[in-house]
Amino acid sequence: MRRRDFLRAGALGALLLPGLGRAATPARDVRLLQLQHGGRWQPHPGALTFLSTEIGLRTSIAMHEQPVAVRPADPALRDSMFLVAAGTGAFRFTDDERARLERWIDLGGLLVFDNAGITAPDKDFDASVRRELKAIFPQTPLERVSPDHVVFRSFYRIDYPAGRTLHQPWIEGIRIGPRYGAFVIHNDLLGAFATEDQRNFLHVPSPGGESQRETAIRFGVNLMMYATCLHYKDDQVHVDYLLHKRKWKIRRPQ
Amino acid sequence: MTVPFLAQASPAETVHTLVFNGGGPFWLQLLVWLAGAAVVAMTVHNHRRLKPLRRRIGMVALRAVLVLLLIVLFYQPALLEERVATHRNTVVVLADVSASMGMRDPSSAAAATSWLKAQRDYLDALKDRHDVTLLTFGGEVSDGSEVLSGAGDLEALMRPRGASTSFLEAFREVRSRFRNRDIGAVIALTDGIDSTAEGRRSEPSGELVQAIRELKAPVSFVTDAGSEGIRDLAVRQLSTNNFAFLLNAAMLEAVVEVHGYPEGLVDVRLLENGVEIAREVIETSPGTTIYRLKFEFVPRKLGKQVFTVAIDPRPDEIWARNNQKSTIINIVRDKIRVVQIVGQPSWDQRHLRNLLKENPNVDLVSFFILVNRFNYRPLSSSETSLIPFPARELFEEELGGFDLLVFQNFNYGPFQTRQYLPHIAQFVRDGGAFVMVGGPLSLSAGDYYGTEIVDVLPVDIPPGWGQQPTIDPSPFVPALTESGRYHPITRLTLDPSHNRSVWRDLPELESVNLAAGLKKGAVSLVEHPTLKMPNGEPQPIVAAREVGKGRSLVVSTDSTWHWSFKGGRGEGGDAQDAHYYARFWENAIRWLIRDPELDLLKVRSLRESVPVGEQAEVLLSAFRPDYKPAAGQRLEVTVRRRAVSQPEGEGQVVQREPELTTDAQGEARLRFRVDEVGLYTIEARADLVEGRQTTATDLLVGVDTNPELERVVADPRFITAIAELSGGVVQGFGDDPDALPLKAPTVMRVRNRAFVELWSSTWVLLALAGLFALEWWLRRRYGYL
Repeated sequence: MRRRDFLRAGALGALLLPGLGRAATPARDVRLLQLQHGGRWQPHPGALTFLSTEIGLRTSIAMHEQPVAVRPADPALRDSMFLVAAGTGAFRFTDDERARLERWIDLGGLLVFDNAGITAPDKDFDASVRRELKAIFPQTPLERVSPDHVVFRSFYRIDYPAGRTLHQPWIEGIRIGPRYGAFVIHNDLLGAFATEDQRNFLHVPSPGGESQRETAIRFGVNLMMYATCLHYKDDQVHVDYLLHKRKWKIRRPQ
Repeated sequence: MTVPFLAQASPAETVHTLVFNGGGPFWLQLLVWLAGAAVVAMTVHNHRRLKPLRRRIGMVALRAVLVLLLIVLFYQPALLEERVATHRNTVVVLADVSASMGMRDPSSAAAATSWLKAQRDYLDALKDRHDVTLLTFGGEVSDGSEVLSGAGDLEALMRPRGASTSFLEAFREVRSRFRNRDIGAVIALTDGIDSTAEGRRSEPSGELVQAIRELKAPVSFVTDAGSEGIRDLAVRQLSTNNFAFLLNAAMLEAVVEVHGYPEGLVDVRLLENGVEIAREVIETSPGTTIYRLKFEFVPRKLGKQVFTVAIDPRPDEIWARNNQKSTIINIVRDKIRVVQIVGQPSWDQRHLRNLLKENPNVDLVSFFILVNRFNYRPLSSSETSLIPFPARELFEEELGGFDLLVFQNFNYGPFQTRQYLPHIAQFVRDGGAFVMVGGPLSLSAGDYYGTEIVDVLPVDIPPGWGQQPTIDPSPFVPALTESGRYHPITRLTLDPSHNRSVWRDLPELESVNLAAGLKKGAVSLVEHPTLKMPNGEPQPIVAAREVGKGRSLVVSTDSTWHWSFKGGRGEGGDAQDAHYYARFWENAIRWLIRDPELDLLKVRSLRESVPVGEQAEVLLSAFRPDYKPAAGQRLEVTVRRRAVSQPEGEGQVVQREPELTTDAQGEARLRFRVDEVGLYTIEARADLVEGRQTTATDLLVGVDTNPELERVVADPRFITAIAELSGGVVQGFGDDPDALPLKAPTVMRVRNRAFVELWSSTWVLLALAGLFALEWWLRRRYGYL
């Protein structure tokens, strides 16, 4: 039994212990949403379920393990503030869909585009993402996210946004005020989580192998933590502690 | 009735002045002088061979005299003969009769009275060439000249009584009374204290300089100002803003005067409501009397507080009542200090944190529990950015520095915080604000049953064990209760009927932490539409309670974020609902931290500082719990006076109004006379909320504004500057008055005028003819003719 399975079983056991189960009485679970767009929107079925499980195992967030596929017009879009748009191929939103996504992001949602290109970022998907983001936020250009940004230390401390691959060791984002409302990932993040029957991974991350997969999971956790806590780790109390106790070299938030 | 101008006229006399009526333009005068010089030069040339030398010199001199005489005639000299009358001017003796003249022992008033008695001969002697007038000043200027002639009661005239001393006003009055007269001198008998703002200067102001110049006379002072041996410590002035921010360093500046203690240390204390909070030490030095101090302090109590700067009186001081000065500073929040503790990240926490973080009036510290005991943990802490939950620091050391504590879906159990729960309960009773937001880790689900926290909550909760559910997860649309219709927390719009429709249209919520009942004194503002508590009453969704000096709130669901993110049912769509989410939580925070605007009973003194002897006026406003004006409400009002050193609640009751009734606007006014110096506390009580009395207080300071009592030692530099400016002197009461400068009478009036021509007189013509004849005779004798 792998360590993760052991922990999963342990957690389930703990929930069943008398006196402990109460703490987990029906929770308003945090859901992951997956966007249905015109391209190949579900390149890795089950990957978001895996990520939900991992987030639940590694953090205190009460995750709903089953992600929900939504279209921009679905009312279910308003059930969560974390939406993943993964895939390959070209797609195009309608004006109404763009307006709904813009409103959803304005209200606080975080939209993560994950390019699932196999040997390189899929050009059609990338072009579609850039076109749609420009159409939704014409005044706000995509920008490269600084390695000092809190998303790289919102829970784990990571140095680069690993996925199944490492096409580009950076991510891009759209700023909405002080936060990012959308990220664009080029390294097939969900590909690192793709499993067969929730047991065996389908892909070996390249070039880093299993350690790269762990980094990818951590990055996924950080994205979720950023969606729920935003710049919490930029609060002075954290910065001071990490600077002085852990001797981290992090830049103080402006 | 005599006309002074005429009465003073002296016998006429004649004055002669030499004048020249001829001359003419400059070129003509130059021509005449050149011609004269040419004649003299020709004379020298003609007589160059005349021997001996004395003859030559004699001839040239004779010609020069003749030429000079002719030039004099050219200028037509004459004598101006004028008959003039000369008038005596007035010497004004200004006697200071202000209250400060009587403060020393022996008093300055006694010294001035003695001077007037002793210098009677001097004053009589002045009357030969001057009119002498005695005026008293120090308040109004009045004539006391009769005492100079022996009539009237000098002691009574000189009795110290005036309420203020203003040299400026006195000089202006002198100028006004002797508008058409020449003033020979002003002699001021004074202690040198000008009790107006002017007197705080070391140099006269422009206005005073102008008044002195208009006198056109030397102003001299006969005074005891600057005398050694006078000892006094005084807090002269306090400078500060009338508000300061809670828990932020504030500054108060004090001006202290030290007289008679040239070297030594003076302790100056800053008191807040009679309790010392800061101390400064003045190291006095000779020649310095004014010291400026800066007190830094950190206000720790909201509302109006009395700050006093005080110096302990010394036995050899001449006046101890000026040793302290008080001011009222309104302590307000600069920012609402909120600590938000969250049991697990969620969308509900995300929205509330965002709201608090983006509010510029909120200083937020958040602690989120990111991992629990079941989570997979990394091998090394350096792999994560997790930090330990600082429970001890937060709940034991820092809690008092916050205004509001938020437990949002937080269970204390796993974090060894059980022992701190009594601290939190005490924090609330002591005036803190506490809100518990529902969720799977909150209330009964968070194992709070039986803890001290529950004692301060608005609701009772069922035990978390057993078969009874602690949470109902079903969605619902919350309903406003009758209390919630007008309560400030749930007032999302001003119009109550519109407010109800707003609540009806808000997005539905889901999941509620179940309560067992409402605590006594708690108010349910929003309730579940169907779920009931064991007592049959609806399950509260939002309930509020006043606990001791603090307030608590329970929001028994963790889904209010729906209003911010899921909106769209109402008229304004999701944007309007997001606005209502923010309004709800902002209302809740304002109520929790006791925003004064939300008090049910308000007392407001219309003046913070009222002079002794005047009426103070207080406005009282009362509201029902639904914040409608409490018309016809009976109020019990007590006014107490206490000394600065007495603690709050003590002091003497100076007025009690057991049955003051509000008008239709819920307002009432109270007036009372401030008859003594001190702090006046106005406390109002009313039965506005069932089961308890609501109280409100305000403060005012009764001040002694008699400026004569504030300054008892003069600054001799001030009167010296006046004297020097006018040509006067400063001397003591025992000095020789003959040294006082007096202006001689100079005002003259020409009564007639005549010219006596000198150039046309017979003697001048004879002298001219004689000189010509003499020259003719000598020239013949010397062989030039």
